[in-house]
Amino acid sequence: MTLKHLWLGGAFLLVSCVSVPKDAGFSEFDAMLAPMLPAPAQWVGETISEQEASDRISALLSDPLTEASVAEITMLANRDLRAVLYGLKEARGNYVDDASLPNPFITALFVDEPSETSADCFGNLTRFDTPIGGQIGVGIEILDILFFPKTLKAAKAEFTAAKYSSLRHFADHSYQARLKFYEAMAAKQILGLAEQSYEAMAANAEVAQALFDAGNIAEVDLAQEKLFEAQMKSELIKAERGFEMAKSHLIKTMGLSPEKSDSVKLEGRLRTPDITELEALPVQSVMDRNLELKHREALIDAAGIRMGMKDVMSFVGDVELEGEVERHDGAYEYSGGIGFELPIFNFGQGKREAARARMEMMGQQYIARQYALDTNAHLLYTNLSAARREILHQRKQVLPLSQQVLKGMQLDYNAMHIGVFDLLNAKRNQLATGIAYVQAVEDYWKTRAAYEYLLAGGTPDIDASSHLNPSVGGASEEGDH
Amino acid sequence: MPSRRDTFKMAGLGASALALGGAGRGGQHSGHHAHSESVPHKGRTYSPGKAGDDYRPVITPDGSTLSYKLVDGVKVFHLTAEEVEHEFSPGLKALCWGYNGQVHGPTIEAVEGDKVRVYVTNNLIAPTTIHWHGIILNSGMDGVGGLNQRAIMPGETFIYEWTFVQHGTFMYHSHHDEMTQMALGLMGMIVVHPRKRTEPAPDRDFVMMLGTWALRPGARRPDPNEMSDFNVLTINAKSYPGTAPLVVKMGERVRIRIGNLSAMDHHPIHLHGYAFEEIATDGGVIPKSARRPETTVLVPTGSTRTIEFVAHNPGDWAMHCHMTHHVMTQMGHDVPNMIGVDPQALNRRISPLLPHYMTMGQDGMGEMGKHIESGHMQVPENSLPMVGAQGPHDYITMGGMFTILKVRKGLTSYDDPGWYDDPDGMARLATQAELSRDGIDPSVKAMPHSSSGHMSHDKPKSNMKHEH
Ligand SMILES: [Cu+2]
Repeated sequence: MTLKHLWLGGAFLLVSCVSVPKDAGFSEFDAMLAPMLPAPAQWVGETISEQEASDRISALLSDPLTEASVAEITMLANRDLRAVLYGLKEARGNYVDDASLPNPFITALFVDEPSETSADCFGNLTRFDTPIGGQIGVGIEILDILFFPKTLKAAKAEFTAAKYSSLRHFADHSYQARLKFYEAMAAKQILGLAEQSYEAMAANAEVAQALFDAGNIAEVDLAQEKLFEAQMKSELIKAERGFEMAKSHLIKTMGLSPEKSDSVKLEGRLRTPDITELEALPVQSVMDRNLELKHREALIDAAGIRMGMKDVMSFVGDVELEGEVERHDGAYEYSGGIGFELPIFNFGQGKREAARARMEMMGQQYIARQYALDTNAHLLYTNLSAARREILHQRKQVLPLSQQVLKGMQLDYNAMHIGVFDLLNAKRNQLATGIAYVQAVEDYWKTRAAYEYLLAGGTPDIDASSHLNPSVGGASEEGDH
Repeated sequence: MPSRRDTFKMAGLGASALALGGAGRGGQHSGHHAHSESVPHKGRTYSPGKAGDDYRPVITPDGSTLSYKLVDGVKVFHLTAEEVEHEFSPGLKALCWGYNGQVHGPTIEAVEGDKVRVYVTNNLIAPTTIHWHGIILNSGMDGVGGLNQRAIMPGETFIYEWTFVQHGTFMYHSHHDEMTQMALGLMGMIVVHPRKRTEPAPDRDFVMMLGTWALRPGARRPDPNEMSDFNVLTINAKSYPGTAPLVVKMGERVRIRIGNLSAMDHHPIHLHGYAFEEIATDGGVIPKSARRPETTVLVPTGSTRTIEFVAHNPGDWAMHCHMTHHVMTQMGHDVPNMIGVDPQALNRRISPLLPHYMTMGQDGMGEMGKHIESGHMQVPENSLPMVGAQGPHDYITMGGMFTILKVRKGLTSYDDPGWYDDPDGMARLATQAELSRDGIDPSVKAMPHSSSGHMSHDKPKSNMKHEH
C-alpha cells in the first residue's frame, strides 16, 4: 500500500528577505559599547587574532594596571566574554533561521502496481491510487506564509533582545573588572599603610627593648609593647591577605590565564578623584539607555508578536495547502487541496490565556525593573554625591588635621611633654587616618564607576559598588541575565 | 591630756605671758597672742606710716607695690580682680586672673597701726572674695566667701576695713572657689612694717610669692583642674629665665620674705653662698633664741617665711626650690626614662617613619633647652623648654622656681649688673701637670677608701686661686 503525501508548495520558493550582517551585528554592538569601554570592543578570533590578543595583553601587562588597561585586558582575555560573543553569534544564526520561510514539503512516489482505493477520514485529505506512474506532491503550511512578515518581526525583536543581553554581559564584565581594579589598588595601598603601621609598632617594641636593656623598664612593660607589635602584625597579615584576595578577584574578573596572571602589576595609588560638582541626574537618559530595559522591551515585542500569531493559530489550527502533479496512464493530472484543523475540541483558549498571562507577567516585570532602576539611579546619585562630599571632607578636614596632630605631637615630643611611645602611636593613628582615606577614595571610585555604568546603560549592583551602604541597596535584582 | 603648754597657761605662765618684756623676743610685744606687735594697740591710734620715715619700702621683683591714697588718716587701697594676659617668661604667656592688671596682685605695704580701707572690684566672670591671710582683724573682714560675707558678684565693689595691729609678712588671696581662682593667680603679698623698730632694718627687703601652675605647652590658660602635675613653677609668677635677679651691694643686710600659695606643694628654698636665719613666719617674729642658721627654708603652702643675712659673699648665687621637679618647666611627667639607650640606633629605626624624630633624654634632660634654643628642634608655640637658659659659661640647666642673688662690690644702681666674673677663679679643666702633681690618673677608677684609710695626706693642699 502506498500512501502519497503530496504537498503543494504553490509558486513560492522563498528566500530570506532579511539582511543579517555577517559579523552578527558586532559593529553595531561595538558602537553601543563604546560609551562603556575605554577601548574599541574586540572579538578575539573574529576582529582580532588569538596571537594579536595575547601580544596585546602581554604589552598591557608589562606596565602597572590602570582602569583602561584592565578593561582592555578583560575584553581580550576573558573567556566568558568570548562566550557571550558566541552567544551573540548563535542568536544571529537563530535569527537567520527564523527569518527564512519554512521550506515546502515535497513528496515523490512511484508506483508500478494498481492498488485498491482506500479512504479514511481526518488527517490526510486526499488519496489517490494509481495503477502505474508516479506522483509528486508539494505541501506548505499556509499560516507560516501568512504570518511570515510577523515571524520576521518577532525574530528581529528576539535577535535584538539577544544583542542587548550580550551587551549587558559584556559591559557588566568591564564594569566588574573596574570595581575589582579599585578594590585591588585600595587593598595594595592599605597594605602599604599597614606595613608602615607595623613598622611604627615594631620600632616601638625596639625602643622598649632598648629601654629594657638599659634597665629602665620592667619585663612586663617590654611584653606590653611587644604585644602591641604582635597585634599590629596580625593587622598586617590581614592586610596582606586582603590584598591577595583582591588581586585574585581582579585576575579572575579579567579572566587571565595562569601564565599571564603572574605578570600583573599593581603600583602607585588610586587616582586622586577630580572633585567637580555632579551634574543633575539625567533620569530620562538613564531610562532610555538602560540595556536591561531595552532587553526586556525587545523580549516583550517578540512575545507580543508571537502572541498575536498564536491567537490566530490556536483558533484556526493548522491550515495546509497542497498541490499534486500526477502522471497517470501517460497523462498528467493536476489537483490541489486545503486541509485544516477543525477546532471543535480545543479552541486554543488555554494557549491564548497562557500567552496573555506571560505577556502580563513580562509587562509587570518590566515596570518593576523600571521603578527599581529609577530608585537605584537616584540612590547611586546620592551615594556618589555623598562619596564626593566624604572625599572633600577627608581632604579638607581629616587629613590636614591628622597631619597637624602628628606635627603637634612631634613638637610635644620635642618639648618633652610626651615620650617616644606616644609619638609612635600618634604616627600609627595618622596611618589609620590614611587607611580611612584610601577606603573613602576606593568607595568614591567604585560608586563613580557604578554611576558611569548606569549613565552608559548598565544596571550596576548597588550593594557591590559601595561597601559603605550595605543596607540601602537590595532594590537591584539582577533579573534573568 | 593637757600639754605642758596648757599647764603653763593654767598657771598663768603661757608663752605670751613670758614675752611681756617684748624686747629681745623679736619684737613680740603683747602678752595675749602669738602675733607680733611692736607697740600697744588697745585704745591707741597711730598716724599713717610714711615710707622713708617709718619704713624702707620692700622690693617685689617682677612685681610692684600697691599705691594708696590717704583719706582722713585712712590708707585707701583699691584692688580690681580681672583677667590678665601674663608672661611667665619670654615665650610663655597665659590668660590668668590677677589684680590691677598684674599677676600676682601688687604687694600691699603698710605700717603697724595703719588704718586701711581696701576696695575690691570684681571684674571677673565669676564671684570672688579676698581673704587677708595672717592678718588679725574682725571676723566679718576675713573674706571667706559664705562664712564671713557673701561673694562679690561680677561688677560689684566691696569694701574691707581694718587696722593693722601686727607687723610681719602676710598674703591675700581669693577665698571663693579657691581651687579655680588661686590656680589662675588671684593672690598677692602683704608686708606690715613694725611701728617701732626692734631689729636693724634691712637694706634690701625682697618679697617673693611662690606659685605652681598647670599649663600644657601650647595652651594659653592655666588648668585649675590639675591636682598634681604642675609644670610651671614660679617666683612672683615668673619662671626662670623670666625671674629678675635679686641685686644686692656687698655688706647690705638682706631680708627675703617668701610666701607660698601653691595648690599642692611646699617649697624648700635653698640659697647658695650663704647661711641665713629664718626670722619670722606669717604667725609672727621668731624669737632670736629660737632662730637657727639654715641654707634652705621650707615654705609650706599657706604660709610665709622671712629669712635674713648680710651679703658678705660676692658672686652670682643660685636661689631655688630644692625639689628638682620644681626647677623644671613644662615637662611631661609620663615620658619614658631614656637614660642609657643608644640614640643612634633608635634614630635610624624611627626617622624613616618620623623624619623630625631625635632621641632625647638618653643622657638626661640637660641638653634639651640647648637643642631648642639652637633652633634645630621646634617646640609648640607658647611653651618654654623644660629647663634652662644660656649662662656665662655654659647652659644653665635649671628653670622654674629659680632665681639669682647677685652680690657685688661697688654697685651704683640696683640694675642687673650682668654675670659675675669671679676674680678668685672658677672650676675648669685640670691640666696634665696638675693631674700628675696630685697623682690623679683619670683612667684609674676612683675607689672608695677603706675606713683604715690609705690615702696619702702628704701632698700640700694646692690653692688654685692664682692659676687663671
Ligand atoms: Cu618647690
